[in-house]
Amino acid sequence: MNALVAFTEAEGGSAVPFPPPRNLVEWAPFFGDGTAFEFNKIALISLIAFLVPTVIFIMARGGSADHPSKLRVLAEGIVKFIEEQVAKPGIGHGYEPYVPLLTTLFLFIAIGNLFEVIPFFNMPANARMAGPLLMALTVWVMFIAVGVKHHGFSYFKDILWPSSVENPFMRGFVGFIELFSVFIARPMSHAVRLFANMLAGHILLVTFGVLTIGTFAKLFDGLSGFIVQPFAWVGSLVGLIAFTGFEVGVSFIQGFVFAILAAVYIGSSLHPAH
Amino acid sequence: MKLLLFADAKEEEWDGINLILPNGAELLWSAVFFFGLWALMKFVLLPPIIEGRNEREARVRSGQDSVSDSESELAQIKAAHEQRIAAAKAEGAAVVDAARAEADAERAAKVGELEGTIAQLRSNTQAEIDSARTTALAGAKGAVSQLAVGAAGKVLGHDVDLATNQGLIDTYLNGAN
Repeated sequence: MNALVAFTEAEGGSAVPFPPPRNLVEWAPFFGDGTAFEFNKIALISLIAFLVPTVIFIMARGGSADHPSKLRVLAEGIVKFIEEQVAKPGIGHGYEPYVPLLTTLFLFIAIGNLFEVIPFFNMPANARMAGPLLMALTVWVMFIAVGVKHHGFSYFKDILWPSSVENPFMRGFVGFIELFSVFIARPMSHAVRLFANMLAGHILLVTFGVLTIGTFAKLFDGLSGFIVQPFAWVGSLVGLIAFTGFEVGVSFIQGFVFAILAAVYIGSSLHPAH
Repeated sequence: MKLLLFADAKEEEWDGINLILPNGAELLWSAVFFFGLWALMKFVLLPPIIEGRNEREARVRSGQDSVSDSESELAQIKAAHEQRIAAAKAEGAAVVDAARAEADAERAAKVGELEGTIAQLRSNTQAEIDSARTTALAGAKGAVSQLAVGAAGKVLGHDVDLATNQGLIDTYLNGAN
């Protein structure tokens, strides 16, 4: 919000224009400006999303398994949640090797998203395309590798030339649709779903933040401001608070949705008959 | 109202912004931290948590099995105990029945004996009563006969013979009984 206030003052303090879109999504580097190692706010959030689960799980190892500490209960709860709500329903039999990937996806995404509502950050890491695309491509490579590992070349053959369709022309047509659906649309929709949701939420919060500041500034702007603006200010503030809470939920839900889709994709490669 | 006119934002500010295409440096750092976390999760962080949990769950299952075995053993002991109680109750009931039957028989014998004694006593008493009544009646007959003969003599003005009229007097007295 500091950037928004500064912008308001630069405009003379009479109004709060919507900040330039570049200010919403692009961040100045802390170091490495202009290089491939440019480290900005998104990289910092990614670092924290790496450190938080690492620290929690390392500290959780210290407790006794018979009398688990609170952190161990938290860590076991997260793993149990991933196993019961994501891996088993999505993959089914043989889900165990994929629990680390799904846990990583869920935590990395959820923690990265939560920075949308953390003061001084106010930016979800996944409102930039890099993270979602990277994770979607990772899942894409993973489910293809799982299919090839367990079914060999017939994995591609079953998708591109599905034996369940009898008519050869229709079989080729369905195979073409499957080719597009499985190998092209899946990673794109997987990445864009997360990215677009978080970007939309980010813009929504910025919008209500700007409205709240702007209507507050107008409270002291003459009689009309004194009469009209309180309603606009309270409405904006309530909207800002409500959508902040909403975005906290969205942060976890998007992590869950991304992880369960990854599990479903891997499960469809592992057990194609299902 | 400039506040609400977001369209006033300068169009050129959108120039050069890549919303869809990923930033190379952000991609690099995301990859470093994501793959780093994944590797740590797979090889360092998750195994002890999952193993510890599985061991604890195995111990809990083992404890539950032990409890189940104990409960089964307890149920067997309880069944045997209840069987012994039922046998003891049946034996007790048989003893009570036998004792009751014996007591009934003894009581019946005593009652029979007493009833015989009572009947004998009653018979003796009745005989004594009858004897006494006969004696009293005989005494009374003599007196009444004397009195009746005396009274008849007074009425008739001459002596009436008792022996002659004894039959008439006896008939009268027997009819009065």
